[in-house]
Amino acid sequence: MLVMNSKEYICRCEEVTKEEVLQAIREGKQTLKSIKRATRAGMGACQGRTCSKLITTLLLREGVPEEEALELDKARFPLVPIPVSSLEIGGEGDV
Amino acid sequence: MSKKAIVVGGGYFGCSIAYYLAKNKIKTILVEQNEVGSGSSGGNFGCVQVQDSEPGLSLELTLEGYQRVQQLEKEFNLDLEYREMGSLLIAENEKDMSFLIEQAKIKQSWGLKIDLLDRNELKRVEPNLSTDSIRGASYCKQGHLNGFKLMNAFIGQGKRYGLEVWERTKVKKVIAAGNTCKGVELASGEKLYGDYVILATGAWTKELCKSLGLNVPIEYVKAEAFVTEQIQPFLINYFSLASFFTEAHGQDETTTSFCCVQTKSGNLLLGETSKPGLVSTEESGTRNSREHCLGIYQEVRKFFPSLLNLNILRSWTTYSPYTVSHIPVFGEVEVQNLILAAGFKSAVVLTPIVGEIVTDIVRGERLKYDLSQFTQQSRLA
Ligand SMILES: Cc1cc2nc3c(=O)[nH]c(=O)nc-3n(C[C@H](O)[C@H](O)[C@H](O)COP(=O)(O)OP(=O)(O)OC[C@H]3O[C@@H](n4cnc5c(N)ncnc54)[C@H](O)[C@@H]3O)c2cc1C
Ligand code: FES
Repeated sequence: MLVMNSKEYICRCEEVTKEEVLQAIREGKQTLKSIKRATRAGMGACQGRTCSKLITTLLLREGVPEEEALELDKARFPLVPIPVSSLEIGGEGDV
Repeated sequence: MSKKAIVVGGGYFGCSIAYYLAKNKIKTILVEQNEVGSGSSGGNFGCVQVQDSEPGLSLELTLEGYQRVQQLEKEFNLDLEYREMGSLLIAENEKDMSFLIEQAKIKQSWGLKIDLLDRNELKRVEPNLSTDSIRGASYCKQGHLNGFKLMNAFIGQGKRYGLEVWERTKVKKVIAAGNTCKGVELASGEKLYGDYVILATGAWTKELCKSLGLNVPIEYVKAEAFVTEQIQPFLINYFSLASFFTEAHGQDETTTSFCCVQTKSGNLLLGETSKPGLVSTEESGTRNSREHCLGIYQEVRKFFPSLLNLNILRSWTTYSPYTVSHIPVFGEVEVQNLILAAGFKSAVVLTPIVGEIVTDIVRGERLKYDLSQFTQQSRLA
């Protein structure tokens, strides 16, 4: 089990601390998505690949029901960063 | 006994209305089917838009709202990432330029400071913009903030005044007896009763009002957006196209229109609207289309070619409510004790004033504005 003290960063890409995430949980945020919107944790270059597990752990430890705590934030296009120029994909349908 | 209000929808308007009601001692419950900010308000760019407003009452309310939004950080003692920012409306042809000139004239007469820029002036105001395909622009001061922080602030402050927020709670229908609204029935079957029901349900409003026999002229466009990695300050102003207003926004036409802004954190938000259509909760309705990928690529290549190598981190889609007349549906309608607040052209800037007006209605105060032009289009069938 990871030992986390309050100075520790939960989201390295966006430099969000454990304390900021805990604060959002105290304000009633119960899902990865709402924590992200409140703190930016998960909005960074890795799109939460590194921090979402840590946040989920915190949610569960703070007593958030599993249904909310384990709700995945939907993965969206592009799954890995791509340059604007590669949007020149054309065709019909969705990505 | 204090009055009771039920606010449906946790977007910009639902949050602000709930805050002002609670602050004014109305017992208020906000009901949101998903999470606060999960609708159009969670997918927008956070601009406190001023020059986009329709002349008349919309513009009057916008100017009032603009003053108030600038005071919110102080009122809440919170950082909303508010800052002043210019707004550019770009004309690519003569038709759009004449539209901008005409609009500027009218809005200047309302006291708005709008400047018309030629290509050289534009280059000075927005140095990284490639102006080759541009005819001119209109420029006006506006603001920018973090929309999630704004919604969280309304909710957080509202709770201090006793506001209750019920997320993941869907309203199935509005309960009415005769022509009087009594409350709402939730998807769970539970019924909530109140003195007033306020529908701030954006693109969903039309559907929700059908069971009341109320025909509400709110349509919506599907919008698609991308966020890029963070870079040094690059884009100074909010950038959007006049074609958004000059091209038909009818129910069947597809028009696309590009806009972009750089956030305080340095991310660029790139967006395009088009495709009026059904609100769909199905996966396909919430996915980004190839058509828009290409569209946004082409616009970036045209206006900001130096950004073509910038990395995109994520995409999203939202349904943005609008009315064909560009006039919102706001106020009391033929069903008593029901207030509609949706279909506004710009949202953020209007949040405080809309919240205040709804509060005045619920408290039975004399209104400072005649809202009849905002409600007369919504009729009982
Ligand atoms: C790409 C893009 C950029 C934009 N940029 C800006 C900008 O910079 N500045 C600006 O001011 N505007 C902008 N807009 C417009 C703005 O996003 C919308 O006008 C605004 O979000 C509308 O807010 P709302 O509260 O009316 O609707 P919404 O945010 O859609 O809120 C309605 C809420 O009601 C809920 N709901 C619906 N039905 C029910 C039900 N039956 N029971 C319970 N809950 C229900 C929904 O889940 C939703 O959360 C932009 C729009 C787009 C698409
Ligand atoms: S660590 Fe949080 S987004 Fe990368």
